[in-house]
Amino acid sequence: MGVKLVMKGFDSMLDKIKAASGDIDSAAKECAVKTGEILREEYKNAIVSSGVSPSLANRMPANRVIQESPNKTRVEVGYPVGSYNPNNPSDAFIAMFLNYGTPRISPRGFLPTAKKKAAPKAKAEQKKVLEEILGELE
Amino acid sequence: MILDKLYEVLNTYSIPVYLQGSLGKDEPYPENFITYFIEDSEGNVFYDNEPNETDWVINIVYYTHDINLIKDFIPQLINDLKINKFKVIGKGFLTPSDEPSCVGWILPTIYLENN
Repeated sequence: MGVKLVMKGFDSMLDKIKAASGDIDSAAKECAVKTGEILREEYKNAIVSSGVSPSLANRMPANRVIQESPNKTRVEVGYPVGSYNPNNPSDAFIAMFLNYGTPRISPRGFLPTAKKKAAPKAKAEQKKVLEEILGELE
Repeated sequence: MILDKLYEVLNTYSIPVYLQGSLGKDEPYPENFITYFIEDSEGNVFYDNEPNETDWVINIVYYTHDINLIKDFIPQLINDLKINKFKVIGKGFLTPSDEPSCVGWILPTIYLENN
């Protein structure tokens, strides 16, 4: 004996998902951008808190937002690397030497400090963005 | 103790091992050497407000004046660390040093210790 299962209500849910699909891309992008802003702020704070001159933090450029594809956004935080000049190291290498240390320089460890402090703030902001944009999907 | 376990692994290669940042300003770099720095430790798996595990976060760096040595030594080091329960995050990355002729390969590593 067979059993027939009838499930209703999926059409309207699928319509909502379809309508939200464009918003999901923009929600994801906004999450990435805002997370990058939070991380940049904590990175600068952590550099100064570790005893490094504020001038290095003040020279940190704005985040770079790269749209790799319609639904893939990359946000670069911190100093662009470039090539290494030992006579005039760029800010990226100064930050790297200070964060990880060298055999002659004790590490300051401001990168992990920044990530730790940024994580809960980024999570809260992402939740807020997703609720605002995708709230209709409940 | 984490330092004992770390020394046990790092001292098997017959090259000097230093705490990162401990070399003097005018002290010359050896041909090949390793540095380490314990970056952080975090308690995990709490019971009765006490952690049953500790995650140690350690940066291990291999420095050399011959960049060609990196491609053979680093996989061996990663494997030996793994055998001794040090988990390397990814495969590490290259870094210059404050001596132009010397390069380093940083291995961010985690050791999970049962308390």
